[in-house]
Amino acid sequence: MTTGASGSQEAEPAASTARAVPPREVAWRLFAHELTSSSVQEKGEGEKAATHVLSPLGARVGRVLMVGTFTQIEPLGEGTVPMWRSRLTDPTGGVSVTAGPYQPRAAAFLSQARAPCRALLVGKPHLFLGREGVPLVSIRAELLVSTSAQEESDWVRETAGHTLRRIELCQEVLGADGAEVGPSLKGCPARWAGDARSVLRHYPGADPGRFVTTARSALAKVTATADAPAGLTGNGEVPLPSES
Amino acid sequence: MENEIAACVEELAGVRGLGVPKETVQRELEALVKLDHVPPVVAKEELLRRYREAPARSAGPARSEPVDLRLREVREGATSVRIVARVLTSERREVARKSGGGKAVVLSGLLSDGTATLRFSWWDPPAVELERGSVLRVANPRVRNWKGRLDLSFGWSSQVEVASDAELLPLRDEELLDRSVRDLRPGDEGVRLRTTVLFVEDRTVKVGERERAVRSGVMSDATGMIPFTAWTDLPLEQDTHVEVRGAHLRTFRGTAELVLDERTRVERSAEEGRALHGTEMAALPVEIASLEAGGAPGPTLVDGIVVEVRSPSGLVQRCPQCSRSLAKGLCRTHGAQKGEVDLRARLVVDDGTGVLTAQMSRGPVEGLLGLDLAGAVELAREKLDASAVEERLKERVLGRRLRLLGRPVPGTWGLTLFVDRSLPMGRPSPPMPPRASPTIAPLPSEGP
Repeated sequence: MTTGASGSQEAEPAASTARAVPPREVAWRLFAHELTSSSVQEKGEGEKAATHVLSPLGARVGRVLMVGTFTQIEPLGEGTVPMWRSRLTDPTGGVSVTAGPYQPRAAAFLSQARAPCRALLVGKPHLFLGREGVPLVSIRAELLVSTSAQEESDWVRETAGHTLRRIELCQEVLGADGAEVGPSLKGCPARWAGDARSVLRHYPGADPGRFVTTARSALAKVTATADAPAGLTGNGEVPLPSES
Repeated sequence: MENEIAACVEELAGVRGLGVPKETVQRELEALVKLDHVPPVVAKEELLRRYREAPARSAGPARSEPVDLRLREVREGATSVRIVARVLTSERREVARKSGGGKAVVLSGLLSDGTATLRFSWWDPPAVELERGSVLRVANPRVRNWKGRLDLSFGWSSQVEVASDAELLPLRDEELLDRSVRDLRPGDEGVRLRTTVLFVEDRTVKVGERERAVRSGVMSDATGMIPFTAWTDLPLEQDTHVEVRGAHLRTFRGTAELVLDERTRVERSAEEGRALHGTEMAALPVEIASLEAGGAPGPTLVDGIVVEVRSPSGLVQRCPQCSRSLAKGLCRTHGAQKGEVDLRARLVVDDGTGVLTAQMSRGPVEGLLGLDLAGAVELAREKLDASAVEERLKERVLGRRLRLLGRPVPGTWGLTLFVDRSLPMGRPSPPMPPRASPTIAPLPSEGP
């Protein structure tokens, strides 16, 4: 507590109420399609600075929560340090996942898992430049747990809902053309709105509408298979942006 | 001395507009000087003040029989009123008199008759101690505004008597305040509510030296949720619909709470269907992002996925003095302690819009573990490892969706939810549009 007070001395007066530690990164719900379409990464300054992948739907992603099928589980590298790699596939695409000695739980999961298996992942995404300068996203796993089919469709429903809301938010931000967007932003969290404004500058000419199709078809898959009544369509309060 | 008194009497009788007979002045002045040993000059001023302040008293109408009022109906400046109320608290103090020096004894505290709670100040009270809970009948109190609150002042013109409990009439139905949860205001007393009991537990709390059994929990209607504490045994069962009559609201640690006591009646409600529908409406979870703004929103429902189990979780030793978890047998404030074994959990819960740390005590943790405390101790013994309980908790909750009922509190380390109850998830939540938290908004000070 005391260190927090002394650390904020040089800051502005209001900083006495500021956090001594940066807030924990929220685990964004997004589909592989959106994540792998990202081409910008932001590195903070200083020690232990967080890395954020900036998504074309205006998210500053420091952590993700995804559910999907894991395949191609293989040990990576040589020597005594256990390092594992796998590929996570959700209804919209696939992304590479790794776990190393600093993620013992996740690494243990991959070492024991038999592909293909359905699991929930919490991890931190990073962007690498692959051959010919193509940006590749990889997720360092923090948590991996087996999940049921029901939990998977729950996640798809939730993620589709968040994605569609963010698409709408992006369209609003882009439509406003730099001007301040209305304070309500259709009830989106303030963080989403703030991120969308700054992140979308990195994607000139972005077309958020192109993610509508994948989000909707992911949703259609789970609503077709799940016996539960449609979560999203049954809830008239989340308007679906039109496909364009 | 006699001359002095006579002079003062003359003087007083000569003051125009007082309309007090000379004999009365003489009698009262002599009483003050001879019985109370007040210097004549001071006594003169005192009488002058009395006569000026209560001109109506000596006139006609005020002398008529005082009107019986409930405390809720008492207004500032009211005269010729009679009230019957119970003493909630009282304290005897000595204060310096404004004029003439000297000390006055005043007994002050709180009075309630089930419709409102008012401060009282009893000047020159009898020497006998006034018992907490005794009923007073007071005619002609002065009703003053003291620091923005009504204050009943019992002085020389008031008649105060200790009355029997029977005189404090229970509230009639038409005297109850019909309220929905959202409309509850601090200071509300004699409230009638139709609600569903979402959660209830039996606890013991320390009141001074005594331990008292209470039942506390959370109630809800179509408009919101409210924590409650019942100080007597009332038929409050989880997931039942009840009509509560004669409860009152108080603010405890920044959140409003409904108090049910001896005066409260609780009946199982007949309108099950409607009430249940209303409860579901109020019991919608909110997005974590909407809680980060701050405030003390009271009981809140949150859905999210457990992304981390922070230590200390599972089996812990608590400091017997302050209930903090011990780390290696040491308490942060009390040093080395012989701990008492307990269960707790700190879960990081994330809903994609925000993150919070859910602080759980034994009850909800037992539910998540599928083990009670004894079972958890047994498990640790079997494995020869106290962390076996934490491990079991991780296996059962990591990556799982929880619906938590609790009180969110923002702090330096982010948002904390003090969990009252972990509810079954039921169906997965569809993408939820944010809504105002179903809670009691911070309110202006007491109403009239």
